Amino acid sequence: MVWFDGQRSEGVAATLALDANHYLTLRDENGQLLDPEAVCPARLHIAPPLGDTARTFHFGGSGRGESRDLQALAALEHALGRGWKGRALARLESAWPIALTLGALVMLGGLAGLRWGVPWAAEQVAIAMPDDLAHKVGAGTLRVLDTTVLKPSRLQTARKDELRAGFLTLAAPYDALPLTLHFRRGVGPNAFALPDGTVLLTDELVALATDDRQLFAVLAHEIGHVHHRHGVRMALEGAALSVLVAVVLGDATELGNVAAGMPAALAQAQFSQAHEIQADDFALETLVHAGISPRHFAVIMRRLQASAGGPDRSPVTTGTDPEKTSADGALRYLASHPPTEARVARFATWPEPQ
Amino acid sequence: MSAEFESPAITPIQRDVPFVFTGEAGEYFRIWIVNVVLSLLTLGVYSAWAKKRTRQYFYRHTQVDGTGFEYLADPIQILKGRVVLVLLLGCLVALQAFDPVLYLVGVALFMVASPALLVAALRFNARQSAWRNVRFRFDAPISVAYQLYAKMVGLTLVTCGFAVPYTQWMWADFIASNHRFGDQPFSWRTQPGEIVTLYIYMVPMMMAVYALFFVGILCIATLGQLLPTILGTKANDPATMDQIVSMASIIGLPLFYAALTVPSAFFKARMANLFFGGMSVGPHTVRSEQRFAELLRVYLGNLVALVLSLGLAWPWAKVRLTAYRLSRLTLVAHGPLVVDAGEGADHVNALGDAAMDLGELDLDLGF
Ligand SMILES: [Zn+2]
Repeated sequence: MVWFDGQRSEGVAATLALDANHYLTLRDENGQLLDPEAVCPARLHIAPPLGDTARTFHFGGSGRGESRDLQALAALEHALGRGWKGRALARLESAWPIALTLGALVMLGGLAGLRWGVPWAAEQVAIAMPDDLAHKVGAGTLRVLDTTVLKPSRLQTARKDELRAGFLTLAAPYDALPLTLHFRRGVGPNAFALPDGTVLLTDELVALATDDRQLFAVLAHEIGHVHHRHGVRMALEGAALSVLVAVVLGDATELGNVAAGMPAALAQAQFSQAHEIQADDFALETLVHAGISPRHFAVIMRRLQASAGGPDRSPVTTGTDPEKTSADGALRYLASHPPTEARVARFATWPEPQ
Repeated sequence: MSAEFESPAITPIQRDVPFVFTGEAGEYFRIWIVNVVLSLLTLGVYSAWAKKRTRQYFYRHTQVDGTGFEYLADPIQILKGRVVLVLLLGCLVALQAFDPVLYLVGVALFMVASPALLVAALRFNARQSAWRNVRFRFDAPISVAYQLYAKMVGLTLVTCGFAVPYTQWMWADFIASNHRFGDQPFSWRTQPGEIVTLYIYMVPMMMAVYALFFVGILCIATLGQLLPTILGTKANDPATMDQIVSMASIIGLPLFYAALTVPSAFFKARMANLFFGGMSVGPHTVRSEQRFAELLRVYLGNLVALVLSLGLAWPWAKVRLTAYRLSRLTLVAHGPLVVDAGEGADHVNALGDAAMDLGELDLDLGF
């Protein structure tokens, strides 16, 4: 082993020995003591083993020893009755069967955690959140949207009142939710919900609809987002995802970003799609309850898809939920919304009341 | 009981001391997977120890003149920095959720603090790195970092971004020439013109890749128009169109990505050569001889392995890249490699370090 005194980057060959009385001595080749402090084993600190790399040790002073004789160091630690944590860790890190098992577990556990664990935990937290806290999420988002992309609606007051009345009828069973309907324009035919109960409807969507009940169908879906607290859950899921990526890749370099980017985008999209399906379930139930045929939802969604002229042309705004139509195809796993046709199938085939 | 060091008496005036990397993908894979599992099981607490072990693994396996580097950071200190940073970021996330206006204020504050955090991270990192029990240092005062930052931002704005090669030179110069190893200061010889030249080569390469990409899109679009006629299906059938677009994206996007690694490998290889190759440590100089084609091969191999293994090849990729970079790095020793530790203790905190780890502050110089 070599001893570096910490004053100069120059080592001297040295020997560390433990005598029968449990005293340590650190001597150079000529038998001179190198560090008079290096006597009491309690002061000896040995860096834990790491692969087959050389280990360093010190006695709390500026000097440091370095040795490749891993067996001798392990024997010394053993004689002093310590270092078991480091040795256990090193054993864990040196066995291929353990590493491969852990690799498989991480892979499966990671997938299961992403698929079920993260959404489940986010839902529990969102549900446990006090009402007024949950409804404060995204407060002020409308203000930001108004100053950036949204323009005031050009609808007549009478028309707005008409739609608002229908919205209130739909919302009646959920009087615990602070639901309000707002009209805006400027982002194409769309509707979205903010966690504080603000539901936005664009003039363009109103113009696209051929029947007001189509609009109510979309609004029912938006109320579903508020009811299930999707805004909060999306934020929580996103945060959990970035923590997971950081833990797995640690100090991610440019390679890490590539490796992490795709699965993260994929997971985020899957979370979002799950929310859409849940909001659709809610819409279906609400529409049936309000006596509106769910078929109207299918009609407006198909019209939206046709007007968008392709997948994913709606603007994306974080923290809100702009509705999107989405084509089926190989890219569907990366879309925030499930394929429109698959979504509307159960609405379109709903039996008409006789 | 061997002495791997050389006696100063027999050291020639100038000699090449290669950087030797002895790490192995398999060994690092096992360490990595244990790190990941323990970090997950402890809800991230172990990640501080994981960081120390990862760093230490790569440091120990990087040898100069027979001695490996050492990463000395105390995991508890890393953990403290991480906790503070996670709390700060948590506040930001909460603000984003509850008050977008205050959130923007928070982001602005974070940006204002970033030069200080960067300097703190550089100091911490340097101070915790040692070779033969002599530590590195990073000595720049925070005020200098702010002045530099102001200059860089000002220049970028005034020139509409065209000063980027020059501001990058300023930043690299700031980092390279403010380090010290023991009492030996670093200096940096690379001239701004060399980085400008690098950009002059790189930008057209980048543009060529984008141009190819757009030509590809045009071809697909034309094909999409023609295909229904050729196949005899109904023209403008949205389902067919969507299938074509999806298929093209699935094949095209990875190809585009792979193509982008070409200018990226060129830039990173050259940049590393300029950054490290321009460095001196006291009387000693450094030579970096990364080659574009070789680095590109490493990048593409890593990319393929990562995709095929669903990310499990990450340790292999990391070891391979590190091994390549270090195999091209040489210390040209002018005289004996004996350095005094020198004086000076500075305030180091792990907070800036943690900020870099979470990817909030990007210190990518392109090497
Ligand atoms: Zn929705």
